[in-house]
Amino acid sequence: MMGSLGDRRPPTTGTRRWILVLAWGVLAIGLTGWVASCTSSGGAKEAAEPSAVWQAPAGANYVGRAACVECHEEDVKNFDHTLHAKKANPRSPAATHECESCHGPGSKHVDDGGSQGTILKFGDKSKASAATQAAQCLTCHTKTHPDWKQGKHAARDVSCVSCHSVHAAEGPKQLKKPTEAETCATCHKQVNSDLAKQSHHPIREGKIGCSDCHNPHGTPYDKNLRTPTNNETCYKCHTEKRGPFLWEHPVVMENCLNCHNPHGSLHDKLLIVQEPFVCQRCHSISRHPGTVYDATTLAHGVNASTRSMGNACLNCHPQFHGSNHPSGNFFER
Amino acid sequence: MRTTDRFGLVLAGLLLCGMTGTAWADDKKSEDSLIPGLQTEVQITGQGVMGPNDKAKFEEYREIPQGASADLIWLGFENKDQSYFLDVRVEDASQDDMRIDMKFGSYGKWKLEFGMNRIPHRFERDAKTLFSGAGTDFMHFPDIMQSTLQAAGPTLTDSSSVATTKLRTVARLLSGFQTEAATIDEIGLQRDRYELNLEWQEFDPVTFGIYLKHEERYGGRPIGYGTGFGLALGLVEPIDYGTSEAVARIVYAEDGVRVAAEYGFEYFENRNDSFRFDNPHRLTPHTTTGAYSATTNSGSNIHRVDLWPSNMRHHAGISFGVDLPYETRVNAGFTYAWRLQEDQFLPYTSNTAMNTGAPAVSVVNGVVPFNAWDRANLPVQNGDFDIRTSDFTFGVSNRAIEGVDIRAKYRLYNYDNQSEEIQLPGFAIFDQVWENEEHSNELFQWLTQSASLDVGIKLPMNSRITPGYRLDYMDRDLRETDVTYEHTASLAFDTKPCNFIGAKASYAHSWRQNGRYEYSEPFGGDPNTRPPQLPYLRKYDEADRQQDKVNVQFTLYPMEEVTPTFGYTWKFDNYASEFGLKHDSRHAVNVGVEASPYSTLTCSAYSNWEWSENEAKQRQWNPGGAGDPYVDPIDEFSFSNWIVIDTERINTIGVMAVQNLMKDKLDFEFSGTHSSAGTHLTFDSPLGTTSANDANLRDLVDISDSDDSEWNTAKFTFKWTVRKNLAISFGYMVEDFDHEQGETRDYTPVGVNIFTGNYLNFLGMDVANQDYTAHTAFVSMNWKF
Repeated sequence: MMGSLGDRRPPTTGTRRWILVLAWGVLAIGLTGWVASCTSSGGAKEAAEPSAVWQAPAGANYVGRAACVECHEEDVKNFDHTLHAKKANPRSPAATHECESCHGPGSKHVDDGGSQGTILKFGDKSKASAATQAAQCLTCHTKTHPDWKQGKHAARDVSCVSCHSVHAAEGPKQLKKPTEAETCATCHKQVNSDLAKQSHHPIREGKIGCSDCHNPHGTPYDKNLRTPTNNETCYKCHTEKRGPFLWEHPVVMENCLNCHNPHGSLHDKLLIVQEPFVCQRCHSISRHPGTVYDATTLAHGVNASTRSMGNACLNCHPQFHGSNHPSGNFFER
Repeated sequence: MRTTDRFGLVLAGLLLCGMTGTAWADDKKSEDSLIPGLQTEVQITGQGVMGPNDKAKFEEYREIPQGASADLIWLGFENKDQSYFLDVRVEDASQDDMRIDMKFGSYGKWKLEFGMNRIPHRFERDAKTLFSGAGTDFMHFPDIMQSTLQAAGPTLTDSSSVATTKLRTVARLLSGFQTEAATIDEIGLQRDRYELNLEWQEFDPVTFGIYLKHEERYGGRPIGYGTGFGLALGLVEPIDYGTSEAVARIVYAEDGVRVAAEYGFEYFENRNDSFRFDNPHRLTPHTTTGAYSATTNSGSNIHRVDLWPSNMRHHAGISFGVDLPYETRVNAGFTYAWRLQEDQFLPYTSNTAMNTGAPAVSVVNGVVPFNAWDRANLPVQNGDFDIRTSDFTFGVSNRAIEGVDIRAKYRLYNYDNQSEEIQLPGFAIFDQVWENEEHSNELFQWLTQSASLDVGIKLPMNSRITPGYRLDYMDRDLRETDVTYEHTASLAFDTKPCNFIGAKASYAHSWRQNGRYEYSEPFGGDPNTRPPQLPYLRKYDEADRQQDKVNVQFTLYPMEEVTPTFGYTWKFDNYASEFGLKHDSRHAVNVGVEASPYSTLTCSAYSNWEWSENEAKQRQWNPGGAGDPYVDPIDEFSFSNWIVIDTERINTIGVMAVQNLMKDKLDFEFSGTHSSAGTHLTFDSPLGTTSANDANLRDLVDISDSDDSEWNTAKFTFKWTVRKNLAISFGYMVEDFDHEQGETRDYTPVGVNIFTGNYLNFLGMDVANQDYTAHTAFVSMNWKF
């Protein structure tokens, strides 16, 4: 495996090319299937009505905003302060059927004295499923949230109104909680606990939010990340670590999370364990990488070692993220 | 309280009084805006911060100003027919953490957004150092101290006992110098980001977008550098970065069809290509055959290290999604990216004694083939480094069968390393030794694929069960293991059987296996040249692994006013490797409640208990000596083996309450958090002691109180609504932070290893987190007009 220098460069293998060709083949088949299905079903427009969308009772008609105000004055008042109420936007609910754009035609609801089954109610107490509630929002918001249906949140019965409220928002983007982090913490309690650790990103200070890295509305990537890999997400702010470098540290190139917990850590620099132990998880080669660094090696110990003080291993190997120095092959500069 | 603080408070008070008076004067007027369509909001705060609040951790990512500050300035305007709007929001004006968001546009037609976002990151205040020039690209050690140290150090002809004595003298000298250490006011960096986003929606269903970003990062951060074996220095890495990005995109979306294309370019520029610092032990460049072991003989007077090279990235991507018949949604995307870097190399060494023909004082004897310190003579001036990444995603969801929800995903990510392979004739270890060994950079690359299928099946009582399967495949080049498969089986259960309970639970188990994995063979195993990898060790990110994950959440709705929640998560990783990380587990239990017992009271509380444990096993050995796996056989009970068990715990409690005291007039708010955390490291070896070599035979001692921290915050606020558009808040806030880092970050300038008698040179800067208690009294006024 470690042949001569001339053999070290890995070939662009036939397997890789084959996989790429296969991937593009799948894409081509998918596109072909789509075109064929559009042709046979009379076009995509006809096919774009999933039955998860709320089906109004037969015979229900639009009654207009005034009828809604009679019972739901406060809700309508709150609605008027939202982007949904901007009539100048021809695609807004206000420019179409106002309240009934989302809740469905309300004549049966009015006639029945406000019974729930005759109109689409949103929220935890709704009889409509999370998918149905989300589908109603997606009739307009597919453009910005195309991956919702394939996302984890949709799969676990989370709907748009689990986080957002048109009528009782307390935070930006119509969030039900004052901040994004509080909204996410409703379910992701363990991450919320991480944010309280001494080493953390400035999320609890409100300087960045969960959505700087994740898109809760779904992405094609793991953990709803906005970019294909953990590293590419980190490089959005830590651009200097992107490289490429002359000397690469493969475990760094592959995944920042091998050493860091981005949500918070008890240890400096979001490390998953302290230095030097984080390095020793992999490095056990002869001499100092495999040496035991116990309490006696700390600054005031009888066996004091520079490898237990300050930045530990990184005192001498500071460029472990990658070095571009001709003598930096041990990440010393 | 300092005079300036008092002055700030007085100023803030005057300001508040003045504005309050203005607001009262306006009370007779209509609450409608003076200018139709214009709304504004201003929040001014005057505060005084007391206590030992000048620690970096208190203002790590924020600024807590003394005196008056503008927390919020907001202006919103839209014309009569709501066709145009302007929205400007400024938070923490003129502070290090200022944020500006401005939106301007026409609803449904176009939108222009501008953002400025400043975030500080303060690492340390009052760090101590003998060097001057912190934050610049050259840190200088006082000449007089440098010459004194070198004169006192041992020479190559000194006997062992004389050398030891001299080394201790050097240690004492350096310790004595520490009283002369200067203080660095602050080590920290500032990030200022400017963004511009234009979205043109007028040609619906087509939207055009342009995104521009520029970011400046400047300041410094503490870092360690070495000038030789055992010579570790705490220094300040200078930071002066500029990052610019431009992205153009076009989206077509109509009737369930969405097609998007995007191109982006990003350039990162590091305006400091290198960082230089004096070597405290060397006034003139020098090489010596004893340089490996004689720590005070380290070669160059000035060391130079490379800083991050400037780099750039391009990417182009296309994605599409479509709703198909039978309630099917198909999404696919492809992104191709180039990461490029061609920064000029620094010389191999800053030691001018490494001239052409000079003897290479290395393990492999020879001569230095060129002036290794001269940039003009470098055999290769720069590299052509080029990484191509391609990402392909394909997803299908289907709900054609009533009650059955199917999701399938496929993803391919290829990290293709097309960098130039550079042959290097040798390298300089630190700056005293030339290693005459030809070598080249290694072109790591990999490809990953994943495919998953989840089938959600509706059950009675408003429940759903979702079994799933996922396969991850990874193919690496030039690492210990090449092909890895990971199978994950999962089961999720979501239920809301009645109006007063909701539950979500999931379990996943995964098996990671390496296709061509020889557990007991060293990587590149050649006992004569020493393997780069210990037998029986596979790095934990490559080793066979079994993983279990459990997640349970209950939410109760017993009555309209109270919502309790309960959650539990557990994750356990078990690695099949004799050495390295063996296992890693984490438990977390949380309870919470939100309640509105009275119409005037809203409150919530939560508590989270978390504990984790991981175990790593190592082997202490020297080539040819005790513990050498090629001399002493490896078994579970070998005396050279040792383990460390890292246990961590954290408890977090949060409470919040809002009590209305006078309807529409006076509210009382309280919020508080408490978190306590700690780490304990337990060491053990099969025989109770470890003896990789005789000199190290000793008892192992645990590290307790390591990274223990306690963080408490409390905030009391009375909010008085003077009139509908004017509110005045006053209150008190306290933060208390206490951190014990197990001495590892302490200021320990220099010393002698008492056990071995060896000279120990660690010249740190005292950048350990410092405790603080900060009391803040504040008055703020929020005025809408």
